[in-house]
Amino acid sequence: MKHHNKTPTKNILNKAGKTLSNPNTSASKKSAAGKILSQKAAKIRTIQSAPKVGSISRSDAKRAARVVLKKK
Amino acid sequence: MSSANYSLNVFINCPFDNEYRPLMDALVFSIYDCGHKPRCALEEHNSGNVRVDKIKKLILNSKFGIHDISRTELDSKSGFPRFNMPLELGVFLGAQFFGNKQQKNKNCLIIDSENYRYQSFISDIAGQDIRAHNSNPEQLIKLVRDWLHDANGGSIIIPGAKVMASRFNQFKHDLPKMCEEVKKEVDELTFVDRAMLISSWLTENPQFPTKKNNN
Repeated sequence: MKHHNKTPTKNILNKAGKTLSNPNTSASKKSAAGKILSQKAAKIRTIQSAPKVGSISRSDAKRAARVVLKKK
Repeated sequence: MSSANYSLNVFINCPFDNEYRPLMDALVFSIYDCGHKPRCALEEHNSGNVRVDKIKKLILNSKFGIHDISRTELDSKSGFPRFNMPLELGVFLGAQFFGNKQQKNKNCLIIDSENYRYQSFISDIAGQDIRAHNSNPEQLIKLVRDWLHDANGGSIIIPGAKVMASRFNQFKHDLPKMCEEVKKEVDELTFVDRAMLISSWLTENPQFPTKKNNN
């Protein structure tokens, strides 16, 4: 069974970032740090909510969106 | 002190007239579809607040800024140039240069209707990267999408520019029907109403399986 690499922890990523930006680090250590950083998982964006100060409530807006999207 | 949403907020400095509305909708749509929050002076109608104070607060609370200087042109009645947008751009750049560590992280996209037009009226910003949208919403979506993607270091997965533009066109098609559902006319929607409908449409039609934010 193939095992996937786990996403590195924030501490490990920070350490790898510092290693890469240190001009005194050897090329081999920089290469290893670069590999760690490349494992950083990208996140899917989250749709942010609009402010509630308008004349349309969030629940009404969502209902309207569901109605038009369901019709397709 | 700036807001908790500082890294998500995108301050919009653009014209508010009806002619600009298709571009404004494209701006707001692409900002939401990139997972960010559009912030604009139109989101508050409190006449008790001095406009420049409102703008300063929005700039303070926004890491990102989109500045469209395309309406810097002579007013047909007064004969004077309209300079609100370059002024707000100056406040944003001032915060970036003279602000604290967080403010120095600010990132802005400066856009105009045509390439190099700015050189005739605001040549001191020549060192900045200024892009042209040619008054085309799809081109504007691509500029905003690519800029926010790069600004986030590619760490956030967002739809591609063509997909985003196609979703925007789908939204525009759905907007009159959504207005019928909420008993409003498209023409009477305020900035906040439009933002609410765009955000809700995207939440219900996220393109990717995505986490919803119900704050």
